[in-house]
Amino acid sequence: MSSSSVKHQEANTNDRKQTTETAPRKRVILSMGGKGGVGKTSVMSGLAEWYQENQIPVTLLDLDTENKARGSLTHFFGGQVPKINIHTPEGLDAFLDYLDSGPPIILADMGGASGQITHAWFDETYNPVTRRGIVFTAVGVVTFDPGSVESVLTWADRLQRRVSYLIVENQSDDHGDFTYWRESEQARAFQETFHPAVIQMGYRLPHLEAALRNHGVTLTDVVKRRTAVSELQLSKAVIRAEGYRERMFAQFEQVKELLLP
Amino acid sequence: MINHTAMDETFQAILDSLPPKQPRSKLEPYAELIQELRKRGRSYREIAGILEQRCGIKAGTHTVYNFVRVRASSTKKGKSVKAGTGRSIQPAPVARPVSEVTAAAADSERGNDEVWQRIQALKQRTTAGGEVEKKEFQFDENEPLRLISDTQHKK
Repeated sequence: MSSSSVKHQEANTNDRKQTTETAPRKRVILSMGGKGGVGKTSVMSGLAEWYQENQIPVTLLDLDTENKARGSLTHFFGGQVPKINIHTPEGLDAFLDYLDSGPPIILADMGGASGQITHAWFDETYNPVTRRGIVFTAVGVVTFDPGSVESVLTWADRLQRRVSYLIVENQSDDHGDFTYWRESEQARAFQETFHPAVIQMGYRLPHLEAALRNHGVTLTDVVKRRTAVSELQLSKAVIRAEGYRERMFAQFEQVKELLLP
Repeated sequence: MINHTAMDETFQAILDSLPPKQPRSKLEPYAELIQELRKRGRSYREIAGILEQRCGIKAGTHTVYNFVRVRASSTKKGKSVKAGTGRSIQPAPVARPVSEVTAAAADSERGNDEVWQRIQALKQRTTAGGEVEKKEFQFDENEPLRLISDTQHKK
């Protein structure tokens, strides 16, 4: 994976459309929930680490109520992440409490069944929220599974140009390809309409991924030897983690205008 | 000679004496909600889902679809009756001097013009709500993804 593989067309920024202010005051980055197990939380956790590395304060919100324990954002970052149940009459209004104050970036990991609620919330609150200088980046993760592509397209059908799109091609398997993402009529139409920024997440050894998820350990924890998990203290794990982390950060660097206010 | 005022009163008495008609569809109480959801671009399937989850009403996609279609056609019919030969019950006119009537009619005509202009302007105004005004991209989640190579092969 090299930085030249980033297909980043004109920054895909819908920010000007989103806010009437010249400079956005805050950016909300939300994962497009839907298909489970595609690596949404790994990407969001990686993003949180990237902000940490660059000493940019960020509010982490875990709205993935289905991902109750292992592998959730709360699990990776412990007490720093409030877990919010959006399946209440107020829905995503808990979001609003974080919009007026606090860090300039909100990172929200959405759950699998969050689509309809999020879409309705956007319909109801989008204008007043953007008038306050808030812009949105929707992060979609696609794998070889067509279901992951359908998830992203379903969200795009509802969100339209109200967000900027960042798509992560997650090579979740060591064989296969992104045929449905790259070669289906519907995915092409989405790409031609919104010009999403596209980055890659390379293949990761499943046993290492599983250990990280099961113990709630981030790549940075492994690299900086901050974990007590013996299998993640081994040099081979540390070196692998270092490689994954470096490549992931390099990809985020390519699309940083979609990740910063 | 027929006394119209007396006839109107008779009609009104008959109408008042009749009990209100029960809604024909269980969706009738949710007509406004359904109409609004359609305006906001929700599919019939989504509306059926919302009705079940939020209102506890179980209705199939086709039921919702038929309800919207029937209502749309009956609204059109209603409008044409009012505009055409339909008879409406109005209070009996009160006699006034001719000059007063003419001035009032002119005022009312001017007022009507202004109201119609406002209505037209309102109709043409783009929606300021948070909803998407026009979809640039459409995806039907009920349709499978179509590979470009397959489509070209079929052609």
